[in-house]
Amino acid sequence: MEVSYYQLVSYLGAAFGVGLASIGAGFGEGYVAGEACHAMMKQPKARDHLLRTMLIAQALAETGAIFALLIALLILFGNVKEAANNLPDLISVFAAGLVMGLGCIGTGTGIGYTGGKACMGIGRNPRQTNLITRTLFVGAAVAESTAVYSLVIGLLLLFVA
Amino acid sequence: MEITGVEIIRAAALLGAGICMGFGAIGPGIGEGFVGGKACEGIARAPENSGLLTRTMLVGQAVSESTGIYSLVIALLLIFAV
Repeated sequence: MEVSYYQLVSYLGAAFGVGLASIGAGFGEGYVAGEACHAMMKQPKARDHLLRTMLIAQALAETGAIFALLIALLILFGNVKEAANNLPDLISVFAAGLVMGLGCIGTGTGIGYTGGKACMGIGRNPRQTNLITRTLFVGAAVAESTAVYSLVIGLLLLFVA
Repeated sequence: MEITGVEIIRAAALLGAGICMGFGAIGPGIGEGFVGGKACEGIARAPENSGLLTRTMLVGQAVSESTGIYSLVIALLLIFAV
């Protein structure tokens, strides 16, 4: 029987990618929701602002995991390097999944922390919602950068290396 | 599938690039998020200092980013130079 080693590396790469990325995104989004609940308890009148900020922050924390999902779908169904039968090409497919998975643990957790503290701040001082949301966006964008680096390395491993 | 020594080295470099950038992104991501969170908290407490807080946040995040950029450089070196 002809063994397709591509299946081995692509299944493992996709699993590691999405599995590891979900750790950070899940933890971060849960933290945002927890802080938003806490802030609503203190400041029920600001609930609309809080709900909106919570959803924005969760979407920001989710982006890394969506990058990982994209890479996993590319690996599984994108016909990338499917005919590969040398070790470097096969390993690069696995490494692309791994880099995206590990790369998103930190950004998901970090952006979640930023979003949680933004909700906490809005609960404490609802009049400054705009200022706090702006700081949330700037902070989250900088924290996102390492996920973008991981995406770049993942795409390079898939298409160039 | 025949595997030669050169291919093993090349495969190790590619796997190393993935591991390097992956692990290298964990720390800066958490650290920068922590900075951003504390800046939001600080602005809620003292909105009149928002300019100072935003500036300090960006400087701190830039320093925290440096290890992520080291990882990126090493990963690119492993992919293209090794």
